[in-house]
Amino acid sequence: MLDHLSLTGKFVALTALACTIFLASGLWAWRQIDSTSQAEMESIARWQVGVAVVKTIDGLSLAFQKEVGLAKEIGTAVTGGGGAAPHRDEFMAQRQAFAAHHAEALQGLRKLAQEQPGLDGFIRQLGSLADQHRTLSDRYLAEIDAQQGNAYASDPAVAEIDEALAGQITTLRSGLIDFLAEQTAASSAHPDGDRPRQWPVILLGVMLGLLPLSVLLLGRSVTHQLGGDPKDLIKSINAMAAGDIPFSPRHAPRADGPLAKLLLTQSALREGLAKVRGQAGLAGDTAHDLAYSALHLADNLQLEANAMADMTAAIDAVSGSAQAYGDQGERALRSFSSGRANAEHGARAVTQITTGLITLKQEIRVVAAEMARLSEDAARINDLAKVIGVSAEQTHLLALNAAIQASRSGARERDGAPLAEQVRNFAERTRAAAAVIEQLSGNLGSGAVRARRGAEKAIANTQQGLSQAEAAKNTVAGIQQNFADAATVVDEISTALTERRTATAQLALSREGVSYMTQENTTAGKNLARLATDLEGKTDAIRQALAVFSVYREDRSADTEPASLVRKG
Amino acid sequence: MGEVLLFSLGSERTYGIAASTVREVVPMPPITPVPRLPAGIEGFVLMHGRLLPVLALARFIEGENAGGATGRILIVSECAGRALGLRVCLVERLIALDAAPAPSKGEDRCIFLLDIATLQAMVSLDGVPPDRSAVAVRRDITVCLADGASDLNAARNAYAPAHMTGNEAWPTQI
Repeated sequence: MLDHLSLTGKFVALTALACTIFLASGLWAWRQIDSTSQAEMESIARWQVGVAVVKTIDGLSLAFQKEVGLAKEIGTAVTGGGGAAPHRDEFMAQRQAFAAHHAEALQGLRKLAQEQPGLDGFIRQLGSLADQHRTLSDRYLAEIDAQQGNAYASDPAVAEIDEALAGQITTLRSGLIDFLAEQTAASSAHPDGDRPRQWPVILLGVMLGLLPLSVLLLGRSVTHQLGGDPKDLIKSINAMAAGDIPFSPRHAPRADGPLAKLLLTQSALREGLAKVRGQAGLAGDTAHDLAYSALHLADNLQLEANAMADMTAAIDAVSGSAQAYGDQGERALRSFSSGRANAEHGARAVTQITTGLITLKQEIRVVAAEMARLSEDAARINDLAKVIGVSAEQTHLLALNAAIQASRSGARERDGAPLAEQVRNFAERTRAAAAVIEQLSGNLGSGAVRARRGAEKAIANTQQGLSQAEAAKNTVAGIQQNFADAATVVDEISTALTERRTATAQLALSREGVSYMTQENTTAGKNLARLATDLEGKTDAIRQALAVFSVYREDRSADTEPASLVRKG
Repeated sequence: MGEVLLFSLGSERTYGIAASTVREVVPMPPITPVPRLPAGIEGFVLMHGRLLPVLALARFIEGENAGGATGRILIVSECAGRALGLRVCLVERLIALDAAPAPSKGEDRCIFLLDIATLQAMVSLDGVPPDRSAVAVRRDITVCLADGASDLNAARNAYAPAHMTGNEAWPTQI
C-alpha cells in the first residue's frame, strides 16, 4: 500500500501521524499529572493540620508537666524563702497555658474531622482530658492554698495523682499520630492500585515506539525505491548542478538503483574532466615555462650581443693601448740605457772626487803640522822679545839712575851724562823694538793657531766630504743596478705587449663570427618567445572553459591555476 | 834751574820732580802693607837695608781720574834727610828746564812739577794732617794739579794770583 504513495506523500503522512500521536499523548499525560497533584496537595494540607494538632498536644503536655512540677515543689519553694504567692501565680499561668493548648488542639481536631472521618474518638478523649485536668488542677490548687508551703503535709496529698492524666495525654498523642500516618498512607494509595498512573506512560511509550518504526518502514521503502540514501542522491544532484563533480555517498548504493547509475555517470565524468584539466594544465605550464625560457633566452642573447659589442670596443682599445705601450716601452728602454751610461760616468767622477779628497786631506794635515811648529816658534820668539823688553827697561832705568846721579853730583861728573843719555836712548829703542817683535810674534802665533784650526776644520770637512763621496759612489752603483733591472723589466714588458698585440688581432677575427651567430640566435629566441606566448594563451582559454567543473573539492578556490592542479593530481 | 825727572801716573798728564831730590829709580820691589798708615802711604819696601815708605802717587794726586793704574816703577826721593818712595807708572827722562827747547807748534804740553818737601809734609808720619790744596810747588814755573782742575787754562786761572791772569802768572810752557 505504501509503495503507491509518492515520496512527498509518504513524508507528509509520516509527519502528520507523528504530530497527532505526540499531541494526544501530551494532553492526556498533563491531565493525569494535574489530578494527581491536587489530591496530593489536599493530603499534605491535612497532614500539616494534623502535625499542628500534635504540636499543640505536645505544648499541652509540657504545660501539665510544669504545673505538676510546680505543685510538687511548692514546699521546697516556700521553705527556701519568698512565700507561696509567686509560686501559686506561676502555677496558675501554666494552668491557663494548658487550657489554651487544649482549646487550640480541640479546634484543630474539629477542623480535621470536617474532612477526615474517624476523629470523633480523639475529640471526646480530648474533652475528657479537659475535665480530668480541671479536677486535678483544683486539687493541686487546694493543697497549695491549704498547706501554704508545708511540704510534709502537701506532698503525700498529691502524690501520683497526675500519672493517670499524663498517661492519657501520651496515649492521645500516640494514637493521633498513628491515625494521621495511616490516613496519609491511605490517601496516597489509589483504591485501584498503580494502574491509573502507569498505563498512560505505557501507552505513550508504545506510541513513541510506533513512530520510529513507521519512519523506518517509510525510509526503507524510499531507500529501496531510490537504490540508496535519498540524502546522498539529493547531495549528488545538487553537487552536479553546481559543477562540483567529486561527490562520494556515505553508503554504497544498490547496483541497479538510480543513485548507483548517477554515481557511475559522475565518476566517469569526473575522470574524464580530471584528465582533460590535467592535460590542459600541463600544456599551459609547459607553454608558460617555454615562453619564460624563450624570453629569458632572448634577453640573454641580447645581453650577449651587447657584451660582444663592448668586448669588440675593448679589444680595439686594447690593441691601441698595446701599440702605445710598445712604443713607450721602446722609448723607456732607450732612456734606461742612456741613464745607465750616465750613472757609470757619474760613478767614475765620484771615484775621482774621492781620490782628490783623500790627497787634499793628507796635504792639509801636513800644512797643519807646519802651522803648529810655526806657532811654537812664534811663542818662543815672543818669550825672547819679553826678555829683551825687560832688559831694555832695566837698561833704561840704569841710564836714568846714572843721569840722576850725574845731575846730583854736579858739573864734575856731568861728562857722563851724554853716555847715559845714549844708553837710555838705546834702551828705549830696544824696548820699542822688543815691543814690536813681541806684537809681531804674537800676531804670528795667533795667526798660526787660527791657520791650524782652519786646517783641522778643513780636514774634518774633507773627511765628511769623503764620506759623502763614498755614499754618493754607493748610491750611483745602486742607480746603475736599478737601471739595469728596469731595462730588463722593460724588455719583458715589450715582449709581452708584442704577444698581446698578436692575440688581440686573432680575437678580433673570431668575434666577427660570434657576433653574427649571436644576432641570429637573438632573432630565433624572440620568435620562439612569441610562439610560446600564443600557446600559453590558447591553453588558458581551454582551462577557463573547464573551470566550471570542480573535479576535486579542495581545488574549488584554485582551479584557475593549472600548475597547482597538476601538482595535486 | 836744574833738571827735572819726567814721569807719568797712567793718565795723559806728565809730572815732574826735581832730579836733585831723586836718589834712584828702580823696578817696584815687593811692598809690605802696614796698618794705621797715613792717607796715601801704601806700605813699606826694603831698600838697601832700610824701610822706605811708598806713596801711591797716582791715587793720591789724581784720585778717581787715576783709574786702576798703580805703577811698576819706584822713584826713591830724598829731601832734608827723609826718604819717600813714589810709585809711578812710567819714567821718561831727565830734562833741564833752563835748556829746554821751545815747544813746537801743536805740542801743548804741561808738566806738573811736584814739590817733594810738600808731599812729605802731606803724608808725614809725624801726624801732620794732609792738605791737598797745597800740592803746588814752583809756581813760578808751572802749575800743579788741583781738585777739579783737569783743564790747563782752568788750572792756570785757578792758581793764579788775584791780580794776574793765568797766562800772566804761568807763562812758561814746556
